[in-house]
Amino acid sequence: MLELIPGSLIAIVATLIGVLLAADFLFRPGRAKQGAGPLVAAIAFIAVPGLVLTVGAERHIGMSKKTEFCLSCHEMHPHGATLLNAETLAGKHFANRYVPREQACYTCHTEYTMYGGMSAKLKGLQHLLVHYRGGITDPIKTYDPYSNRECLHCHEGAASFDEAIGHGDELESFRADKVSCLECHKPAHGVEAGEVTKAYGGEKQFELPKLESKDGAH
Amino acid sequence: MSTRRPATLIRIGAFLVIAGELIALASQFDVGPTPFVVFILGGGVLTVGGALLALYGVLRSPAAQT
Repeated sequence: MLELIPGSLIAIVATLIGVLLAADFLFRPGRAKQGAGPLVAAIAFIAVPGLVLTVGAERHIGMSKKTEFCLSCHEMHPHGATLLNAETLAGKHFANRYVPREQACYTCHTEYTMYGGMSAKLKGLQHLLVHYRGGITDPIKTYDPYSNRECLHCHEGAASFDEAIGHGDELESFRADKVSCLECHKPAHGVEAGEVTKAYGGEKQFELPKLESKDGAH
Repeated sequence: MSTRRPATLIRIGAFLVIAGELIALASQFDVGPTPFVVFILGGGVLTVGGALLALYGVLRSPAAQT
């Protein structure tokens, strides 16, 4: 059964208004230049669709940040399963709630820059193309080398980070990506070659993490 | 100048806008990730395309005789 996502009332009302206004032009196109016709046309074909698409995009962006959204593609199942393995960096973050569990993938794989969120969405569209057209690399590689910026966004300045041996001396190297955090803190996921292909083809099932309905991390 | 062609454009555009908005609305329901992406992208493309078509028709419509 379909479950309405809370907060969708604006989208529903805007859509109904948009449909009624557009239906008027569908059956009476001649009114486009009569009286208030141009104004109504602007509302029907610019304002309301703009509102509907803005609300829809906002909903889309919110939903696509969720861990379950990322793991809905079979090829991501091996990586999702590593969230349950506390031997991996991803698993440690998930187990200790260093990342919000409902946005575990997004929290580490977005870019903490001015347009990082937008960049992540564009890469998400790229993921979709690869998913439907095939050509997934195994093991999966990020488009660009993983930047320490994403780690330091949370860890820099934390007592546990500052007190760790070597961190203070190498901070500038970390900031400049001269030394990758992953050189010491590996494996990030520990997915072995071949697992992605098996998951994509449905040959192998992986145990995926259970997500709580509300995350109180951080 | 005949008003038939602009009227046809407005009709087609309005129809696409209605279809696009309803499809986009479907993404507001908890339908699962893949249908969600199809609904939001498909609905968005139809809505934008239909709106542009309808507006083009409106601009090409002759002014009403008074």
